[in-house]
Amino acid sequence: MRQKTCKIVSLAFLWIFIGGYFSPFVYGKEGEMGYFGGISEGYRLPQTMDQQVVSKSKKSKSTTMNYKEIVFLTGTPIEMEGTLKIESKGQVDEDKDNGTYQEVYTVEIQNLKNPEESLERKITLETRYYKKKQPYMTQVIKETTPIKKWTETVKIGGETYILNADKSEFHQSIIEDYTPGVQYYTGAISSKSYYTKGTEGAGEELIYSLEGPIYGYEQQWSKTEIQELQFVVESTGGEKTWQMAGTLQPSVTTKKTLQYHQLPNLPHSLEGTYKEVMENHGGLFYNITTYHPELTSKQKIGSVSVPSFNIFEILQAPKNLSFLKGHFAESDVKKLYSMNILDENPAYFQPNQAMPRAQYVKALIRTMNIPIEEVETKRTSRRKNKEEDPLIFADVPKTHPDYPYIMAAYKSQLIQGDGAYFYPERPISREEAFVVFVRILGLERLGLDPTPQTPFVDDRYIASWAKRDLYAAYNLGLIKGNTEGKIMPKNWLSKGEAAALINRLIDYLRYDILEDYRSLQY
Amino acid sequence: MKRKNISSIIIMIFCLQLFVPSIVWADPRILLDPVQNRYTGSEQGTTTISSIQFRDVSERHWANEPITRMGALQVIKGYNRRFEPSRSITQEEALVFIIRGMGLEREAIEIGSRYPDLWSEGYIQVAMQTGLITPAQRDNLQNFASREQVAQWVVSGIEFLNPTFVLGNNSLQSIQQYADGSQISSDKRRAVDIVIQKGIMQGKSSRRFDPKGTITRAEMAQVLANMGDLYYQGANIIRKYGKVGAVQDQMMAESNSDLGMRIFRVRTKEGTIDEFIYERTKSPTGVAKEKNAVVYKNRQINGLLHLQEGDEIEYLVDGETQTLLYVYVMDQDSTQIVEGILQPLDQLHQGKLSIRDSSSQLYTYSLAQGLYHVNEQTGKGTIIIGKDEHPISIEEAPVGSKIQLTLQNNVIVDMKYIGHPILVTELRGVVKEIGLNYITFTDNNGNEVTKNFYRNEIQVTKLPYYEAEDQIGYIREIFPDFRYDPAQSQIDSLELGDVITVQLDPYNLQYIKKIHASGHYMMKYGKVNNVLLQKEGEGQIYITYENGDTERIQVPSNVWISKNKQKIAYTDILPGDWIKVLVNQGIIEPGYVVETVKEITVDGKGHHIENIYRGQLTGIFTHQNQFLLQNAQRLTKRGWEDYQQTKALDISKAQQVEYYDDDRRVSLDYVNRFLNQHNGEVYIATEEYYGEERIAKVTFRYGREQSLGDQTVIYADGTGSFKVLSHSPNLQADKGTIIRRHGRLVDPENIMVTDYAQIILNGENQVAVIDIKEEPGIEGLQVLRGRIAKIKDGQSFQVQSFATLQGMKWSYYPIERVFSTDYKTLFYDETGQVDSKTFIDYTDKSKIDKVYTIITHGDQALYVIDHPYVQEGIQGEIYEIENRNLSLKEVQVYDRAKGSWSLINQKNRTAPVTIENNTILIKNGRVIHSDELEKGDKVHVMTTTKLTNNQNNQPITAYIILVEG
Repeated sequence: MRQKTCKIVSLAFLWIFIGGYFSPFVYGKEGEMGYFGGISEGYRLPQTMDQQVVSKSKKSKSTTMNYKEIVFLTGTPIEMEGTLKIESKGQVDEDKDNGTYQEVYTVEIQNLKNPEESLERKITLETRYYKKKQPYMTQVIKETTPIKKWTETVKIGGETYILNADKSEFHQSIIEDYTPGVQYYTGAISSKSYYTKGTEGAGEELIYSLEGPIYGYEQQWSKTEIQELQFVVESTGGEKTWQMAGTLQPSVTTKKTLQYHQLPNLPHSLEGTYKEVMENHGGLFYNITTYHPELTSKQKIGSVSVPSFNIFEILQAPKNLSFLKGHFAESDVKKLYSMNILDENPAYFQPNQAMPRAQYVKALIRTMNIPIEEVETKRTSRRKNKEEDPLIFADVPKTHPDYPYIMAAYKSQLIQGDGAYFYPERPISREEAFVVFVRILGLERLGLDPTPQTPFVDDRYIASWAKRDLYAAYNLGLIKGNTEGKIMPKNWLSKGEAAALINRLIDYLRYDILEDYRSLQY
Repeated sequence: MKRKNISSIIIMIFCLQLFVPSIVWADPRILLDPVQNRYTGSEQGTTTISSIQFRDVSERHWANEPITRMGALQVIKGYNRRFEPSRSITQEEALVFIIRGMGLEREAIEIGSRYPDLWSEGYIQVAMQTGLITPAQRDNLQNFASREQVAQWVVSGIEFLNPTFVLGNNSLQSIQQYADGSQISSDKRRAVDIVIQKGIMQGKSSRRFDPKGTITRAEMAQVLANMGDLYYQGANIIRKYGKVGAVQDQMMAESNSDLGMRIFRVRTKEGTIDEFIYERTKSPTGVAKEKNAVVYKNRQINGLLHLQEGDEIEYLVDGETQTLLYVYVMDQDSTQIVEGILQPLDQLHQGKLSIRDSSSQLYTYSLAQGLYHVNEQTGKGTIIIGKDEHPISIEEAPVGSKIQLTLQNNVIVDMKYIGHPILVTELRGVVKEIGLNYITFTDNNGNEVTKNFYRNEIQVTKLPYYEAEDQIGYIREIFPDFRYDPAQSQIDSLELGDVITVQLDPYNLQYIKKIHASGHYMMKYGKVNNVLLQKEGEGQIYITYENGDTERIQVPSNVWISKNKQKIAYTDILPGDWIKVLVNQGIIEPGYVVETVKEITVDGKGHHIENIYRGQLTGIFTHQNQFLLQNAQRLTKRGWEDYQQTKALDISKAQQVEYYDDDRRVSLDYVNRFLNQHNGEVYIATEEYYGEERIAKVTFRYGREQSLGDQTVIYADGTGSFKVLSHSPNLQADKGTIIRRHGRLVDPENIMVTDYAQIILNGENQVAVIDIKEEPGIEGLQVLRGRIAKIKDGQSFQVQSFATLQGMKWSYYPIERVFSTDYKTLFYDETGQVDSKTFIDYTDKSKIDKVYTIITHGDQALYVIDHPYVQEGIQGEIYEIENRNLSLKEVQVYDRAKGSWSLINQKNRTAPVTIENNTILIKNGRVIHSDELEKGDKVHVMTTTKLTNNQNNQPITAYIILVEG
């Protein structure tokens, strides 16, 4: 009996190990709205359920989403709606340093006011990439070009326009930067499509050029992609030659917001629970600057959007936290337990106790869902051929319960210790906590390097290695001094304060960072 | 004579002893506790000292200490003040060292005395006698000793010294870790294993022991020193540790010589007291004899006289004779800084690192444990260079570059990357203050530095904030074709907070020759509360940021202000506008930040209130983030229109939506709980948010509604209380009032006199909605008609006479006038827009003498329209728009003869109006399209038909439509 349980347990560990290994540290997913100036609802972020239940079914590689695009080919903007299907035949390989993969984008849309007008497009894009992995950075550079035939047929006003695939060009290049908690990316696209009007050979030719930068980010709590495109339509060869030009700004965002679901006063074991609502939204602005004189002003500027049905999930309800009633940090601690960021026995989580460094690091790793490697059990460790990681910190042996988290933090350059020791039980100071914040967001460049002085009144107490990151956090609006302008860097953080801090970070990642990106579109 | 001497000496001693008690010892009992042991220097001490001060072993040589130690113990010797440390040791030499170490020197010398020409014969014989070598082996003794041989001899030597020593186990495990362990000769395996176990010898790398390789004389000294206690115990040498507590001098007269003594009282580690005695006797002939011992202190080899109170020491004593042999002063704080080029890290697994200095001398040091890590199996290792730095792998280490080592007791405790030689004196920092001829900045260490400059000599480069790239680069003097350099600047372009690099005058480091600066820019986003104008185009803006902070920012006159990418004036910034401000941030002092505004961008589209609705709340969909209204209506010019039984509006901006219960701000939870089935009206302002209409503000009211229509504010007190003409009591706008000013939500303070607004009341004098807009008019544009005289294609045209439209009348001027045209000028006729190329004054298509309606802005012709001369006019209010057909009501016709207006028809006061391709519509000072007309617009229509006869309600063709209200 005992042997059997041993076996099961070790198999379970193995499963978790393997499962954990394949957990989705997905390399950046740009292009969920295509690169043609249209918008889709966008992919959803993984929910807690997706992360907990490892589904055995093969993950389908193709996604179909609601999609809208404005077609400018005829000189008048026509809004068309339909679907965008993305089939990914591969992705960036975790282990290899370079490679290629393909994706097929299929667009089928029509003008809802006049269903005879439609657009169909199918393009297979091949992306080549290489990785640059250093201890101080990880980046992936990608280049995408169409491969195979790119077909496109547009029907407007009784006329059919067919894409000339041999003449048409499409090119895109993107760089992805991986910081410990967030993946950022930016790049640009450039395309020129040639259409012939009608089915006869010669005749009117339309040229549609599109160009502009892309930027975005993806993390556990929200993601955004924005494209700032400029387009030009030229008509040549017909009786009238004309041009039209303007700007297009498609963007797609997904964010997870937290709502509280309060139960009425009932003899119910739960007082209330938190739920996470996933909101997807795609929005597109367009502004035609050079145009057919017949365009009315309402047609020159416009916007469309693709909302999506919001899904939600109820999070676990924290129990045994009733002793927090009336405490400053009651709501913060409850939220963190709900989001499974804190999972120790609530009896040991006294909010006025000092927050140990190991626990803080662990909470942050769980917040950003940074992948950890489970420690091998005795059974599996028999395969000794695998390279043994050296013990980085003398006071964090493999048997330490927080070992996987501290190692994950070390590997993603979140923490360094002092070379030999990490001091896991020592309480974390405020300056250390803020520094780790900024590192997890990868936004150190917002501080000066080196920062001779920060705006805080007690600047001289801030350690020199912490100044730059504290200045960056100040510029981000994450931290402010207290009413006297002091930041009190050396004070220890209590567990309650740490919970509040982490919540603040999560809120920033859910809402504020998204608003900063979107404010560009104004 | 002698007596006198004696008495004087005795007096001296007496005096000395009088002095003694007044000196305070750090160890207060040092003189009181009993002395346990007394050790005297040896008579050979001084000669030993000079013999081991080798000329070819510098102070900084890594093996300086072991060579000194073993030299002091007389195990190793050099020749002629040279030791030749880097030479590979021969078997003969190695044996000699080891035999000395075994204490068999005397025998060796004795035997050797029989062979005066062969200095080593004695040793060799002893070696054979003790079994270290076989007679057969003696012929090879000139060859270099191999490492495994040395290992074997060392072990044999130790075992000889004390046969009862148990030297480790015989497991031969330690050899296993080396890949070349199998190459060790089988008879030497055990010995090699023991020396590895005991730390006497190490492999050449983590995988190679190199048993057949050679060993240098310095390494040999180290090996012997590594034997440590194994050797000391065997040779009856006592090793002790202690601290020198007191030093006393004594002079004594002996029978025929003067004896000077220096006595050192040492507090041992165990707490007892030992005494060292240095003696110096001077015989009457003047010959001095000393009893001295080798003292190794600060890397130097000297005698006992160099010992001082406070020295922490390790000392070796001959157990038999109680003679002091060697004192090693452990200097706690001897930090030394050395620099050199980092050599390949192939000894890292041994914890050693080498550098080569400027004279190509190689130095190897041990690394402190925390600074490196080597994985035994893979051989991969990491090393930490620089405090607070992340460990880097061996492959990444800056081999070949200059590094600086901080040594303590010859152990590397810190390393710093220096890199290549520094050529110029550069300082970097952040600007705090700029004066006429000085600049103060905070350098990278936080210190405040002030340097001077000559205004007309200093070279300044700073890229303006809008320049993305430095085109010319670092060296500007070299390229003689001086291209335009946007970075070339004056000292005045430097601002507080700029990050600068300063190059100093090498002849006078107080003066700056060159400065390069880079601004530190940040974008802030917030809503304008109030705008104050101070001087020409400059002033202060009160701004509220998204997080609620308010600030007053100073806007200087040279700031670029734009909206929708068009430059606007400072006075065009309105309260309620959302602006992005680019600032250069400078931290003068902790807690005191100065920001200079560089650019302001006013949001074009953002936070623009699209619609205002009223209705009743029937429900809230929390997951889909929607408010459900019933009986919803939208506010238009004519009042509440567009009735919808239910309407869903989005509240996804849940974070920033403002909810008001009457005039109190509340949360969504409050609304959900208490106001979900509210009986009264709810007023909602929506804005466009990325293609969707989302709620920005919601107010619940309890009173009865009353619409005041369009009013002009005649009095406002700045707190939201104001007066209009048609309503006598003061009206009160509160925080819950939806106030839309030029399309944006503002606070009650922004209601001002002469504002023209549509006002909805709810309750007695409580304002629910006030929509402030521009007073309608057509200023700016002029409507003219002219007869063409001449045309200059694409440039201008001249009319021989023209008429201007004022109100409904044309005023005629028989004078010529020129209007300019450009590519933006649009030409219309009854077919619609025509190409400007048709507007020419030659060929049969000439337009000379034709009369056109011209819309101008000053002398610039914007539109040239070919349509009939219109003299008749009507005015009315649009109540229906369908494509190009308008329906007007309350229509009045202008009677030109009488110059007055009269109703078109008593019973049916409507008239249908059609818009043609060459109809011109003007609203708010610009030409618009028909789709910008709204229901409720009051228009003047000019047409050709005489309307007083229009009894049948024929559609009227409008040629000119002016929107008046």
